[in-house]
Amino acid sequence: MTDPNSLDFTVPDPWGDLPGYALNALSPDERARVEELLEYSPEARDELRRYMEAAENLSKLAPDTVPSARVRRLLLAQVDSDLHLMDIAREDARSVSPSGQSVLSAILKPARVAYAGTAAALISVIAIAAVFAAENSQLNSEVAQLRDDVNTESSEIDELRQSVELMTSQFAAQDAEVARLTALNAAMNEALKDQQWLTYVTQNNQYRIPEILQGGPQMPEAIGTLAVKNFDDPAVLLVSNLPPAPESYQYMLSLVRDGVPSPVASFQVNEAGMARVEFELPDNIVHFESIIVTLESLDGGLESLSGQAVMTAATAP
Amino acid sequence: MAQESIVFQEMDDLELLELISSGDRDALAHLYDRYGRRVFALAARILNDPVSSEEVTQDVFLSVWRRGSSYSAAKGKFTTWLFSIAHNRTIDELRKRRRDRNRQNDDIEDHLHIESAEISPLENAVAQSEYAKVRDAMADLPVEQRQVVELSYFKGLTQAEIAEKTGQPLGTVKTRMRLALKKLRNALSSEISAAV
Repeated sequence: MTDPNSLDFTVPDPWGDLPGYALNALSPDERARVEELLEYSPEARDELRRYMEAAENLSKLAPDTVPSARVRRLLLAQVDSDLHLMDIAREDARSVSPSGQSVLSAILKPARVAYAGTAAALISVIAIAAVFAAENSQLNSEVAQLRDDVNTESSEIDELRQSVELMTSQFAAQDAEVARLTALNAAMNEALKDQQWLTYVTQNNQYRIPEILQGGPQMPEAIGTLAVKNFDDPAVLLVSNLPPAPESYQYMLSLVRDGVPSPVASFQVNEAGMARVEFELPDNIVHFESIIVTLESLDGGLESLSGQAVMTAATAP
Repeated sequence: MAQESIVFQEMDDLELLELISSGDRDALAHLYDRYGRRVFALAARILNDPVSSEEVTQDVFLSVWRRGSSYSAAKGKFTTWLFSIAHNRTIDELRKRRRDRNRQNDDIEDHLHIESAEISPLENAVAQSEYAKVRDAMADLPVEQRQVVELSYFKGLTQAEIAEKTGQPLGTVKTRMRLALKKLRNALSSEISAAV
């Protein structure tokens, strides 16, 4: 017995093609025959409707997704151009009198129709251009946003760079401070040695301390210790708490006799404000009425004393 | 504008279509918002090309705008009519491409998920539920019936092409189509038709 499903329908069978019609699976000829059947057969239309409702459900198997917003905008732009075309057509219809067209109207109508078509096309182009312009504007806005982001990041990078520079400069300042403290420590060590020397020589070499120099009103903390032994032995002045002399200046030690100062040594102090000055006594110390330290210009030389006295002491009578 | 949108939301498809036939563009916009995604999804599933799928989607709704008055409830549900237009237009495009063989299919995967975040959880749940029902109904079909449905509906083959491809007589292919659609209709009509 032959399986009916295996039969090949060579005879046109529009009724049997209704499922294929619902699934869009017919050739143009088959399709035309089905549509002919549908024209006169309500039963066929009813059957087809049921097949098509079943086929519609197949669309739900498509993965859910969303078209871009441009589709909606382009669709509505097209609709707007259709509406405008309809307005023009209505306007044209109103302009024709009910009793018949005038000769002029009859002449102008093709022109109006052509104009309407052109205008609609133009409007369509303008509408679509507007959609693209809007998209372009949106892109520009996104580019501007990106540019802003880049600027913000650049500004943050600048701030970081400034912070790094500030830290570098702080490190440099700290290095300078460490160097200054190191130098000061060296100066203090030097001064300590001088003080130890002075203690030693006064105790063991018969040096004596005839005078203590005091700082003047401008440098009240300054102090100087004069150590002498014999007339022909070098005298030593130890100075402390005396600020370094300004650039191009030096300190000058002078012995005063009969009101006339005689410079005996010039000197600078170290970073700790200390100095050890050795000098030859021009005469026995007792023959001088006072000792004075002045601040002098380096250009002045030993002969001319014009500077201000910063430390003084009267010798013992 | 928001109030107008609420009014549209309360309208059923036929009320919207009536407004569309009278030239109401906002009604069309709302109908697009209601079904545009499904139409696009169907086209994308068949064409595997987002750009062409968007063109098809635009064409489908433009057809509704221009030929909305040709719809008659006697022909069936509005959505049946709408998706019939969508499927016709998509299959036309697919067959045209097969003829041309010039256009290249783009990978649609990235595009498919670009705006999926805009789908509300409720809409997504409904779509997932309907998808599951149709998927289950398809799974219940015999393999050979499911094959002819997939080859015709999603691959755009004619029944003669399916017969050639599967090596089955044309009559067999027609029978399988008829049986498959009847089973799908029986399986789904009670569950889905009320929801659409």
